[in-house]
Amino acid sequence: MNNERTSSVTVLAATGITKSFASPDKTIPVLSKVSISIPRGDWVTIIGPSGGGKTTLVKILAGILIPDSGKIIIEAKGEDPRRVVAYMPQNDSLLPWRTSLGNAILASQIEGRSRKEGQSEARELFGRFGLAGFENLYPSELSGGMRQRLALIRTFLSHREVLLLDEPLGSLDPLTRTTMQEWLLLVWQELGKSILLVTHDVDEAIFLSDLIYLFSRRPAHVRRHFNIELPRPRARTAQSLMELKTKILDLIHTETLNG
Amino acid sequence: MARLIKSYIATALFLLLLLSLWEVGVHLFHVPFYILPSPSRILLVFFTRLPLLFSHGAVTLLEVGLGMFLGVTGGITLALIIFYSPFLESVLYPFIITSQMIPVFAIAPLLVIWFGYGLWSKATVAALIVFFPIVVNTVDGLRSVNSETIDLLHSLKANERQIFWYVRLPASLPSIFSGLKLGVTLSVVGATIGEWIGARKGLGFLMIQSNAMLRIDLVFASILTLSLIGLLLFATVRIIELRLLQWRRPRRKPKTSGGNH
Repeated sequence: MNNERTSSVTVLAATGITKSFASPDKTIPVLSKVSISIPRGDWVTIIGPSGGGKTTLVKILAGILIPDSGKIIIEAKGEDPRRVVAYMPQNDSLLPWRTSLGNAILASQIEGRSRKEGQSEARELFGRFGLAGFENLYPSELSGGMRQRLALIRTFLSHREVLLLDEPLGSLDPLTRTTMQEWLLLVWQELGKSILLVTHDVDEAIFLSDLIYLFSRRPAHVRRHFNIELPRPRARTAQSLMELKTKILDLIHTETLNG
Repeated sequence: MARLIKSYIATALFLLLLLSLWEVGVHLFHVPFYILPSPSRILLVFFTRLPLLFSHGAVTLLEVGLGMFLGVTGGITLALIIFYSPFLESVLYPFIITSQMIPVFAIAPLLVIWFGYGLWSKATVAALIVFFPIVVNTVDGLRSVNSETIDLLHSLKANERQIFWYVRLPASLPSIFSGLKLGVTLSVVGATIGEWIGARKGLGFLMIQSNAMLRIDLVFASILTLSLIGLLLFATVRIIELRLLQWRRPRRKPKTSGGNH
């Protein structure tokens, strides 16, 4: 499996993103001049306190929300960012009335491609994602881990370069979660996409990422970023990972105390 | 399945018990048939007058069918208008709510004057009754869609039309069917009331006519026919519902945990 950093071309970047939400009596600033960039083929992770605006940034990158100021920069200029990114929401957002296969082909259907084409492409991924044989079941008939994998198939099949995964494993039990992390890593290396992952699990971030952005509390800005140059697969208990974990936890801790 | 059959048997036995008490009571206390006919007499009349009941029943069924069609299409259209236009919602919703304060039966005589003694006045009564549960349930259904799902569709560059067909409509079908099941039973009542007020044919008309001639057994036979029509319509809606909403009845219990591959 090829794990070299292919290039340092930035496939997607956000500079100086500021966003606030209006509530009836005041405006709540959520993001304050956030800048991040995603190198092609890399795994980038945002960690930060919950309710801290991570999801808001992802929604801005996905073209769902419009920032008050700041810019989204994509490699292919003038293109709609929504052609570059695929968004996987925090809950799996599977359509309960569609079978697994029907959910998987959603993106291709929206683009007006033929159902047959979408289905044959999806069937191939079902095998690779360990869901072969479950094509005709409804989401309610699948386990939590299977639902997440199905949501990932749907995300992959939108054929975008960057996958925005908003806490994709957040709802899973710890055991399933660890397995899914390893599995996700394999799939990522095989399919050669760029990933932006949102999580508040420090272990998950350091196990998976090339680059970690640590967000502050609301209004969020980037406090620090960490490049992790360790080869994969990584031992979860490796000395250098533990040191990094301590460092990040210390940073989170000091913010909590000073708040 | 065995439990289902068991519960049906229990229901049937209970019904049989009630009918026996009725039968015995009528004979024991010598209740004249023009006050309360016995179940056996009603059944006898039902079968001997089947052609008559059938021809009147066909008229009522037609009225109900037309009323359902008008009420459902009108109701869903109005629900879509209310859902997609907040302005029209603020204008229309108060009217729709207050319109329900007016008993439809009170204006039924007016409808007969406006639309005549034929099919249309009864269909209108039925439509007016069906319409409200359809509007309310459809609006609720359209609003039940999770906003994250809509976000997902937007991120995939779906347009409003696609969002409607792929998400909003399927998501609101369960509540539309709740409205339909409520509406279909009410519409039979509506058409019958319409016929009481002024008609030349239909089971409501037959009831009024038989009542005036003290043919209470025929009144009961008409009621029986009306119930059968109601059941038939309800069953039809239910069958369509089960067909369209298969996903709501999982065929297989979800596994407790997954994740191995």
